[in-house]
Parts: sequence; structure tokens; C-alpha cells
Amino acid sequence: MDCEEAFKEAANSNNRCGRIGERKPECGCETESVSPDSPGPVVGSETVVRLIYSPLHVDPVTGDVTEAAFSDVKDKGLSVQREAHVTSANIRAIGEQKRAQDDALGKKDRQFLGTVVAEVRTIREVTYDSGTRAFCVYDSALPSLQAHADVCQTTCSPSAMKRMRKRLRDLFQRKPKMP
Amino acid sequence: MTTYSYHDRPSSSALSRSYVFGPGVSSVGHLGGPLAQTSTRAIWGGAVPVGNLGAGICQAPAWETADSKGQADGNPNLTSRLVEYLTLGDDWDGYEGKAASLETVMDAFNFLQHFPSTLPQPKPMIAGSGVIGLYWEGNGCYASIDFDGSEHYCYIADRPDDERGEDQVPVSAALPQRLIEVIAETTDRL
Repeated sequence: MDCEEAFKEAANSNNRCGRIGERKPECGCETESVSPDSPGPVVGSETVVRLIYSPLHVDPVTGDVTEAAFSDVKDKGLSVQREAHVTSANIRAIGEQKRAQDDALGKKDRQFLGTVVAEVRTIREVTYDSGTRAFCVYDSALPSLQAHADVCQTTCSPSAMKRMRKRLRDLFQRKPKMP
Repeated sequence: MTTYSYHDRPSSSALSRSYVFGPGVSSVGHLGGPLAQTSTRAIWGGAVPVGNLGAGICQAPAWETADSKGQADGNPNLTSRLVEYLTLGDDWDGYEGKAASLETVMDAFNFLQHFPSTLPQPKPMIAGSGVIGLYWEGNGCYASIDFDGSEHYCYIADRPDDERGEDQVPVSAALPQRLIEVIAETTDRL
């Protein structure tokens, strides 16, 4: 099974990252494209952008994004955009479009609060005490969003995984900013 | 009938409430529906339930006195935020986020029921999976707890040079000493 197939197979899983990790351990799919729509595998010098839509993901006192805002990384994958393949205007448009859709659907609890960014190299350098990589970054492009990528967490004990998510939070900018 | 009682000591006043869920509720997992139609204010903001409570009925806190009221007011944001997590709509975070389950919220409340009022109060957070977190951060220390509705929690209690945690602590168990120490170190006010 190649990586594209592994991602297709895991697409509907509640634990997409775990599933991919079982099929392709040790971030085995980082060096090849996992999507036919991708501009190419994600390289370490790239930066990735996470769009923040919920005020619940931000500490109301400090304005900092919470550790929980990065929790998707442990199961479905943390959706991010590759800055090298998308303009700030595009990112703003994605955020505003989503906000407008939510408004139309009566979802008033959501806003587009801005983005936080991190360098891929630093994400890939995070390891558990055992030395095992904690996060993989894949070029999971979508037909309508070629810059889309996913950050997936590798499996370890719950507390160790939690600590790494806090570390991931620290790698991203702490406060969302408008692109 | 499923009954949850929270008779906390007055010092942790904001947590002292009683829930009684009436007939026709086969399991607590089914309560998301009726509770989803109940405003946070109806449950926590006042003594009298308002709105459509469905099968769930909230009773006013019996202990609330003039003396304890001030302490209840000290942490209304935490309790109301936890209840709010129950009523989040689908995709609340823009990434297909789920609301917290009733079991998860109950675990958080059960934990807080035993939480010493002398320690700094936590801040709440919620994950897209519906897992509820409580955290404390300051002075280079970070303590954080995750509740997933299993009646156990996972925590980390980290100092800059010393990281520790546990994967499965019963919600009803005494607070781990390590957690107490790191929580206390997140503030200078103690």
C-alpha cells in the first residue's frame, strides 16, 4: 500500500492519525505525496498556518491559544495551510468565507480570530523521551485547498502525548493574528 | 431516575449544585439533547431553571448563603464555561468539533468538588474531541488535566527542569501531591 492509499483508507476513521501510523510508522509518508493534488511533500523549511475559528480556543485573559486547540493532532489530524503555497489574502479569504458560511447557518459561536504559524522543522524535531518523533507533517492537499497539510501525533502514553501537544502549542505563535 | 448530587463545602461554593434527571432518561449519555436546549444561565446562572430543560431538572443550590456567595461569585466563569461545553453545536471549532459529553462535564465537576479552594483556580479548555481540560500556567510551570468521561483523568505537572504526569487517576481520588505542588508554583499569590 502506498501512502496515497493509506491516507484514502484512513480518511473516514475517527483516529485517522493512528490509522496512518499503523500502516506507515515513523512518519513514513513524509517523503512522498499523500495526495494527488499536492504541490509536493512538506519540507522542513516551510511554515504552516493554523486558522483559529473558536473563541473557546483562546484564553480570554491572556489571548493565548490553548493546548486543547491543538488536540486534533492526536486523532483526526491538525489541519494547517502551507504558507509557501498560499497567500495571506487566500488565508484571509478562507477564514472569512468560513465565517460567512457559519453566519448563514446561524452558527454565531464562531469567528475568524486569525492564524498562528510554526516552522515545520521545529515540529518535526519534537521527540518523546524515547527519542521517537512525536509529530509527522503530511502534504494532505485537497482539490480546493492544495496548500492543505496535516500534522499527526504518533502514539505514546496519554500523559506523554499531552505534554507534546503543549510543546506543539509553544512552537506556534501564542496569539492569533490576522494574516 | 439518575441523580447526581453535588454537595460541596461552602468554600468551593460555585460547584455546589444538585442535578436530578427525571423518568424517561435511560442513560446519561442521552441527556445531551435536552441539555443542549437549555441555556447555561438556566443551569448555573440563577436559582430558577428557565428554558426547555427536557428530562433534566436543575435544583437551586441549597447552601448558598450571604457568606458563601462571595466565593461562588469568585469562579462563575469556570462553572458556566464547563456547562457551556455541553451545549456546543456540531463543528463548533470549524474543524468538526464535538460538544463535551455529560459524563465528561461531570468528571470535571467531580474533580473540582475536591479541589482545594486555597490553590489557584484552573482555567478551562475544550478539545475538538469533546475532551475537557483544566490548566494552570505561570512562573515557568504548567499543570494540565484532561477529562474524557471515563471517571479518570490524565495530567501533566511540569516544572522547567522536571516533567511528570500520570495517565489514569480516578476522578474521586485525592489530588496527587505533585499536581498540588506545581499548581501552587504557577502563582506568586499563595
